[in-house]
Amino acid sequence: MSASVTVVGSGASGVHFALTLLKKGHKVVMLDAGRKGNAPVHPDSNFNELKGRLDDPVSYFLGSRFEGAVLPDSGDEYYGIPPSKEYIFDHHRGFQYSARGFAPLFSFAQGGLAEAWTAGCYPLNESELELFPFSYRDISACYEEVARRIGVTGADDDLARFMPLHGDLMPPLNLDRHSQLLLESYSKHKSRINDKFGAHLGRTRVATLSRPLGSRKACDYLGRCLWGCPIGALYTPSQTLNECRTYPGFQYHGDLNVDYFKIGRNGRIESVIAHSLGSTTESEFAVENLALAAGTLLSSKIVMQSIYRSTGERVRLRGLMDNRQVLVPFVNLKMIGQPFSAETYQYHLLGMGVRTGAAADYVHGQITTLKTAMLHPIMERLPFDLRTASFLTRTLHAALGIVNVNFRDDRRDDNYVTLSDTSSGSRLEVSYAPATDEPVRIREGVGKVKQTLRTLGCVVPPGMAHVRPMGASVHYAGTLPMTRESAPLTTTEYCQSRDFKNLFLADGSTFPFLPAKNITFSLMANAVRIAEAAF
Amino acid sequence: MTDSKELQRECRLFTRYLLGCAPDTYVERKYIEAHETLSNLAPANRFDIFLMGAARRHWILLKLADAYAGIFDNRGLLRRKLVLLFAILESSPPFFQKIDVVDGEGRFLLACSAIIRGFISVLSLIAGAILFVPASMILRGPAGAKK
Repeated sequence: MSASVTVVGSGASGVHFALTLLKKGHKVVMLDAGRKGNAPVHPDSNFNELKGRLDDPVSYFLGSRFEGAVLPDSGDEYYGIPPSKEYIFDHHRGFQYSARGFAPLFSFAQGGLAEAWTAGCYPLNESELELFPFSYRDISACYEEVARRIGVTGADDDLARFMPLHGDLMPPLNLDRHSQLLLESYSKHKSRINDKFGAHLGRTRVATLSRPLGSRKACDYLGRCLWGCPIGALYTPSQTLNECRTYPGFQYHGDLNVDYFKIGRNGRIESVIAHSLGSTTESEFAVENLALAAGTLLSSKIVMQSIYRSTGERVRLRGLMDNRQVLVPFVNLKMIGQPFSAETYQYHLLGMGVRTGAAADYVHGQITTLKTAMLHPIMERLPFDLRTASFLTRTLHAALGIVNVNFRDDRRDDNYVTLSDTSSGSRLEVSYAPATDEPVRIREGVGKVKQTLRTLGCVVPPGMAHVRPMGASVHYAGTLPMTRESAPLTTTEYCQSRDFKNLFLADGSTFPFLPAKNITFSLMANAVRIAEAAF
Repeated sequence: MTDSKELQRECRLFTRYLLGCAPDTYVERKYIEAHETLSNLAPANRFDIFLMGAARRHWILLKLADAYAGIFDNRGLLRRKLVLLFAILESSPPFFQKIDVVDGEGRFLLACSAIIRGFISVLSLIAGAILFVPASMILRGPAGAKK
């Protein structure tokens, strides 16, 4: 029998949940804020050619308000969000939040936060799924299904010990010279790196096409990934949203912010209340089944607001998680003074897996060599006059790289989200404190990464490692966990709410553990898993 | 408030200093536009005014002021303006090509170039410190705190 499911949000989870249902012949109504960016400009030009072809290149690269210029007192990270992607993180008028110990990012864009991801696809392994109420066997086919849909490149190499190999992997993307040298050096020093530091290097798995898939072209190596892949070779959820639109059973309502759902006498959700982003006019949508896929923080807000409207109770959803990330810059001595190619894949091509302590304490590093990029954010940090800094940056450009080291997180009761009242509505409050053992884990993990880099022939400049604020990785999870035992404000193994029977949580809010990996690929696979099983 | 003519002169001097060539009208326009847009490109204290005044006077003083700012005043006005101009130049043709080109051919020439530049940089820093540290103490107080 055909079901009707209302899905809130068009991010990575929402679109794959919706597409799975549509393929099974169900009806899907999607409610979405749905902000859109501009169409890509000059899709055939590489990073440098683009500068010559645009009428106003400074507005494109630095923004019309120069918001992309990283000035010394701005406190920005090395590389922030480029102006072309700012729409992804723009808040709508009236959205209020406060955060303690956490720097959250929200998205009201079509495709959600993953419109700005770096495409890392890392399936969780058996030990990382230990706290989940299902095993790798239950989700492996879903990883393959997502890989078929979005196109994932990768290789059966040393990193496979940390992330299971699944079917439908495309051959890896072409390596740049710097990444190639790192891999060659790894082959030479492999046994020492493996045995002494517990580290392994290999090709990252990325959702960027190395060969055409459907109407999508293979990567053209234009060096523009950060500004938004102009040819769609780098997967974003809005591509799957477009696929959903081709199904007659799919209805899309954009420009909507979902506030709460109404609960009937039988404990079932009857309707959803939303308002248009530009106004306070409310709309009501009757629902048969509801799936929240607005991202952990915004889905949590909808649940809390709904409970408050229904019972007057202000609940706290505990167990918020995010990956701590530490950026470790390095200089490869063999690449000093070498030219760089503008025709290259800009994001990470190599990954580093480091075993520390128990299997679930795995530390994951994404190795990005510097190719096409703005140089002023690096220069402004060097303790020299800018002429000298410019010479150094030029000379070191092709030799620079950065490892983005990810650390796992656990659900802890003192990390929570809740709502508070303000004169103009309700405000989302986020509170987070890192685990007490985090500094020790960071020291150990980063220490091993640095030792590995040195063995590979790189210099790690002292004092340059940057601990990113919690919230920066945007891998939020854990507020409505799926559990084996029944308890309020938890979900079943199929992410069905135990409080409201026709509610499903299709995003990261149900993850009971956050391994040191980008979870986007697992979010998509989990969304497929629950859509397959529940309807 | 700094007028357009003054900003144009500043842009020309700074571009010559950074890249050894003159900016085009597009770069000048964007530099002026940035000053009209960004709020943190105005002097925050008397020392900012003094250092900018010295930097605008002659390229040698600009070199010394920049060397001083790189260590002792790396969030100051001069540093902000130079970084901003660099960001504009690296986004604009044909200037970005000058920024991408690696100096010298071969490691030996590169090493020689690095040694000479390093030597000049250290000398500039010493001279800059002799000139500007006392001025900073007088104009901002001994703690160097911004007012």
